[in-house]
Amino acid sequence: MNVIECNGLTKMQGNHTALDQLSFSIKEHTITGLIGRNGAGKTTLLKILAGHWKETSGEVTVFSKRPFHNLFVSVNSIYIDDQLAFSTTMTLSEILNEASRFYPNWDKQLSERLFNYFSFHENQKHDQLSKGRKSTFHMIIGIASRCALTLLDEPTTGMDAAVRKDFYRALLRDYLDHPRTMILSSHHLEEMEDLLENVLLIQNGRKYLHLPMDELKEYGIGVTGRTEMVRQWIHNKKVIYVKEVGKNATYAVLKREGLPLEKAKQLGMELTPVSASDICIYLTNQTKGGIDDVFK
Amino acid sequence: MSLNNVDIKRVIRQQFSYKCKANTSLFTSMIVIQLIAVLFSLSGTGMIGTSIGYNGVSIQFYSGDIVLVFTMIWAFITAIMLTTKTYTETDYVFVANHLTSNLSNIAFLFVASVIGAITSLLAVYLLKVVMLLFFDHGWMAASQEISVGQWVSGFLTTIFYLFMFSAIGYLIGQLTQRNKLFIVIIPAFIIGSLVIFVGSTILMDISQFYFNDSSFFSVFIKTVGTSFILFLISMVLSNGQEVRK
Amino acid sequence: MISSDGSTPIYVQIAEWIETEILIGNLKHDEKVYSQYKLAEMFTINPATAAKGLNLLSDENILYTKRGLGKFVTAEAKQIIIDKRKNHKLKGLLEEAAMEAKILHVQDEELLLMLKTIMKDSKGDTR
Repeated sequence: MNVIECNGLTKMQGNHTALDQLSFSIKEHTITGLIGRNGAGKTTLLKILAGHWKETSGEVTVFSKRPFHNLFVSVNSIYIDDQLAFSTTMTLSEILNEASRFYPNWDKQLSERLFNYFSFHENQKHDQLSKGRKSTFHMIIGIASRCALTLLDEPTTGMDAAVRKDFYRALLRDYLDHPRTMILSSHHLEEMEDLLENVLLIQNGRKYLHLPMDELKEYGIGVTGRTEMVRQWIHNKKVIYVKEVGKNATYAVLKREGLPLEKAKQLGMELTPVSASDICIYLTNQTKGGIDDVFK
Repeated sequence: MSLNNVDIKRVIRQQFSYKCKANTSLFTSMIVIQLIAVLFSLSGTGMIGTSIGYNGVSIQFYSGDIVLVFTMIWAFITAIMLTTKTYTETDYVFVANHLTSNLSNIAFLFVASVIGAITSLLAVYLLKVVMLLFFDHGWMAASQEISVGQWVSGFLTTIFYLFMFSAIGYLIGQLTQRNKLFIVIIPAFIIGSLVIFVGSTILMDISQFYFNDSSFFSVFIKTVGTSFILFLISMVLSNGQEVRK
Repeated sequence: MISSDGSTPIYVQIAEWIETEILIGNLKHDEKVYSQYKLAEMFTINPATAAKGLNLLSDENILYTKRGLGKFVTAEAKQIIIDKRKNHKLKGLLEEAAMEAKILHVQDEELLLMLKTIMKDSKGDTR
């Protein structure tokens, strides 16, 4: 069953096309990583799915309903980012208490345990928390609400490495016990890639890739060798990234599918895997080069 | 995970109680404003003096009108504040849509009007006590002897007036949220109309229509009817607006 | 145990880990292996990835499925793993060694001698 379906989803913000003819669907009980550069349209997409923002054209459904200001979608989904607004007069435990009344699946025990584990104090106020602590607190709400659709927009902003690790683990453990559909957007793909089943890569509001995580990891292959040999070999092939390394050597990233890799090996070129995080960066680079081209 | 059905009345109730807890500071500001109003009232609203020979009589009038006016301004401003980003954003952190957000706001404003009416009536008693304790007057008398029925109808009308002012504020708030130009247009409109209608009786007519009516039922229809229409326009205006921008 | 450096896909690493468990005798013939959820919890990975690793082993007849009960170790599992590792992993490693030797202009005899010495040393270690 598909929880989310988008068909030609377009969102205009003034003259800027934030989402451009986006079509994809997301199956029930999957964890999807929403990956893209800054300004690619990740937040816009999540806010439309949460029902906060209105699509300009195209079709979008969540639980087979148009999400914009739909109360059914609202009660079955939660959108968490680092900008949740709370009353300055309420304490953290009062906020959790209120949240528990809104969400039917809320696990009070879990929220209290996480609250204590991350050593929050009952009488703390939300606006006194640091950036990372806010993210941690929001994460407790995101997990304990157990919404059928959980949308986490850059959930680890400001968290330190240890907390991020705990967060991913907590998210997975609760997902295993209570499967639900989750979308996580993050810059830290390498940290959360083990958690993900699928990856949705968007670029300039367009869908670039939507595939299982394992396939993304094997999507590209790095080839290193003498410059003229590499240049000749990659000719007429799907090149994702090229960079000169050292003297008379070139590193190129190509789409692995259908490549005669054995032959490349025999020619003396070195083959290296390309990590999922790197392939996403290379794929979404505007130019074939990198930052080094600026300094040429 | 199985999907939960949603009961809109339940969500409105939850949001209403959430707002009551989240917005306690608004009531603190109300009490402060009413105390200031009591302070102003202590100077009295009018005085008559006469003397025969060596014996002089002076009558000082005190009234709770200032408290009521201040509370109306408070209701007006509070309603505007509820429409601002800071307040609406807290709604949409949890379960909400336009309808629940607006209706819970209206419910909140109604309760705020009731509390405002209670405290402003109590403030009048406070005024009397302060006069009695700290001012050396020969004797004091209530201006009018009122019956329980009159007191109750006075209390209810106070609620309706406060509610109507919050409805005006709410509409102005929604207009300015819709387009920032209204921040300039609305004061310009009010001042402009004061200038234009300075000679005519239209402004007097309007205030006569709402405030100079001795029939409780008639006041009820006018104020609640006006509030209803204003809130309805506000809700239509906010419909289709994006949130958490 | 599981590394995310990208060199080996996670599901392959999971499959290899279970294979090793079978080789060293932690999982015996007809014994139930960990479920995809248990594996996901153990290694903090997505259960779908774990399932992919288990399916890989099913496809190679190392595991068999009892409907509704889970996956179990086949009788031939150990032999299949040994054969596979000999033919693939070991061969692959030797290929890499041969390639490196070629770049360094190491003669065949020298390479064989190196291998023999290493094997002798490692035998010494186990003793």
